[in-house]
Amino acid sequence: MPGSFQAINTASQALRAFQRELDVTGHNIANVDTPGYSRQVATLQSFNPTTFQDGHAITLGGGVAVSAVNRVRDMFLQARRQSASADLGQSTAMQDGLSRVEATLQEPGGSGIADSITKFFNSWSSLSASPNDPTSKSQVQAAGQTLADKVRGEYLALDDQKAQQSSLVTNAIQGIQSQVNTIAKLNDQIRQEKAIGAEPNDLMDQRDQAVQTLSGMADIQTQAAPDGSVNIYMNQLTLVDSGGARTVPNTWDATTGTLSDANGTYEVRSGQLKGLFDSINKIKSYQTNLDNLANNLRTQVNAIHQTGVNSAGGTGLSFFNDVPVTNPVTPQTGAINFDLDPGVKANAQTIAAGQSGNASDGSIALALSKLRDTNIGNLNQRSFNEYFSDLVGQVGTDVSTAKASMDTQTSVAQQIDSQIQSVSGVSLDDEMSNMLRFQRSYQAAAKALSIFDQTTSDLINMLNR
Amino acid sequence: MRISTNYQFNSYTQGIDGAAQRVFEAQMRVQSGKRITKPSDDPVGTTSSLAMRAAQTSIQQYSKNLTTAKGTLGYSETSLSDANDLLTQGYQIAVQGANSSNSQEARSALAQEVTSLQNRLVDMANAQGPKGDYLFAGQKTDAKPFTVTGNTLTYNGDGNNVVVETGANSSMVTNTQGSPTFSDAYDRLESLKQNLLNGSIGSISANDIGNLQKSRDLMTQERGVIGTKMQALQDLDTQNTRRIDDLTSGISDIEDVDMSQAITDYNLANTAYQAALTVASQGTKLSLMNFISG
Repeated sequence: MPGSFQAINTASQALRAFQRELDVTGHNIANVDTPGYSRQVATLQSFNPTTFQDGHAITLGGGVAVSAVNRVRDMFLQARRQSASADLGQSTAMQDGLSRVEATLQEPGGSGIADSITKFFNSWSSLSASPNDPTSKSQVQAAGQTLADKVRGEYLALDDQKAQQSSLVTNAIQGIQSQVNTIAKLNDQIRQEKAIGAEPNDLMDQRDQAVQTLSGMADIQTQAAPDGSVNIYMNQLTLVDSGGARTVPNTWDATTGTLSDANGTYEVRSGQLKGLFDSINKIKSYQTNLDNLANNLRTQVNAIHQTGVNSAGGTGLSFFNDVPVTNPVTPQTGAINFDLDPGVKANAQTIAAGQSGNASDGSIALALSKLRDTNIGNLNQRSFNEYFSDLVGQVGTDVSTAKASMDTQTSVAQQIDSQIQSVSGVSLDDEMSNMLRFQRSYQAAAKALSIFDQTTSDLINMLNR
Repeated sequence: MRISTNYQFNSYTQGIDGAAQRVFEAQMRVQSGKRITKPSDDPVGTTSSLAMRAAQTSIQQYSKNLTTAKGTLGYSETSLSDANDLLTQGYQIAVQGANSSNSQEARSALAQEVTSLQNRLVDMANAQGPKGDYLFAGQKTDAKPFTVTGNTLTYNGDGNNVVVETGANSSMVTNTQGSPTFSDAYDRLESLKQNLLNGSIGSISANDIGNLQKSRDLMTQERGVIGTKMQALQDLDTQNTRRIDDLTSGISDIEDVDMSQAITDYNLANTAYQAALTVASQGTKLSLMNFISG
């Protein structure tokens, strides 16, 4: 048979339980803005009833207690968000890198390489019409210099972009290491809490948030362990396991898309890191195109110009510089060395307009002007101008593809976020109404306590009389 | 679906940001008048616009070349026309000299006139173009092509042509080979002069009058050739102007915005932006907290 103070016990337990619920609500409200926070709920459970004989058997409820405080979270959504993060990280990095490349082209417009190619050939056409006009030769010299400067300038601008992307790779690897360390540390704390039977909701939220950040950087796979920790792998590479954080390899190769250390080579398949590798590879391919353009301009123009005779009787002269650099001996290839021949650079009058040395022989200038519409075998059977336009078109397509992919991945991520928020996010309206409910419950329990107190007091006073 | 507070406010922010960005883009299109400001706006359009720009710039150069060609042809035509006049005067002297009533003194005076005609003819043959090039020297335009040695005119130029590029696949010979015409004319006048000095009236009427006529015909033929070329240049010029205009409107079609469409888009984007702001300002006011008293 329960004692006289059973009711007071029940009421005070209820007060404690409602107080806990109000505490949880307060915690939820406090974290309404915390990234990665999952709302928490206190689960109430009625106490085991006691049964006693009072003429016949009576079962009386024993009140209430908080059995657990849990976070509301959908693990399946979380896994989907990780894979969306990886794709979003990849397309964002690619889009960022390539838009900057696109800006360096200054196309379409009247100040890019395309225009200077046309104007270069125009200057030869002009010279062919007035072969012994010194001004026309100066114009050819200036147009050739502008073209060489623009091609070389673009190549160097691409070098800059490549260097920037490379430093971002280094940052990303450091970022991965830092997230890996954070996750391993949180794993340890979670394991300790779990070992004493606690439910470290907030630590798990922080850990999951770190995992999501990490998933945007590289393609990771997670594996939950029974002790509450998670193991993290990037394909064959272990990043976090029961042994703690591992060192992320910091040797990388964009061409193969891999990280490597003394133990092996590891493929990166998505995430920001992969996006950076992709954009570095794209920049390299644009540079190859510029090299090809410069090399063919050099050989094609020189081959014709070398058959010409200038006004001083000189012949066999190059127009673009193709003299190998001595010490160390390197051939003048590619866009990086693209420049006028030193002779032509020093004196425009060394330019040959014709083959005979006659004042009005403009045959070489004419042949060079005709080169503008000539399809070059080494340039995919395209003319110089078309080849460069193709490159501009390629950059444009790459950027718009990356942007479209980024837009798609952004909406996918937002979609999943909204689902996650729907499940785990804190709603102030919900919390407010819960708070009212808990407050009223608390008030009722307090009232009950005071009634029991009153009845007990009445009983005692009665005995005193 | 349950809406969390964070999600609600995020969606306001995203809605406002997105709408503001669309207003900005629409505004940029109206302000710049450009549909394509970077290749990724329309990669295919960019490629065709680059091709059209190249074609346009090339044609502008061909048009400049046409001006050079016109200069050479015009100056040549003037010299040939002057030479033609000289030959007409020579022809008249020959007709006058063939008259038997003339005294030998009168014929010697006529021979003097022929000498002066010859000197002027040599000047014509050594005429220079707008840039100081000798017009009738073949490609050796930097030196006087004709010199008189004894009684004959010697040609020091060459038989090569001066070619000007008039289009992507066309070019035109702009010089006139002066050696046949001028040498012939000089020789005919020389023959007339000798016959006048020698009093060979028969030879004048039998040969010189006819030969001078032929020589003049030769000049006229050359002028005809130049006239045809000038006409061709005029046609090319008109054609180029039209193609440049076509390309300009072609480039504009690709690169420029349709202004009425752009302004409509801008207004639409503005309305959407206002709507997003209104929704956010109304939505943020609503809260259960407004309806319960603490």
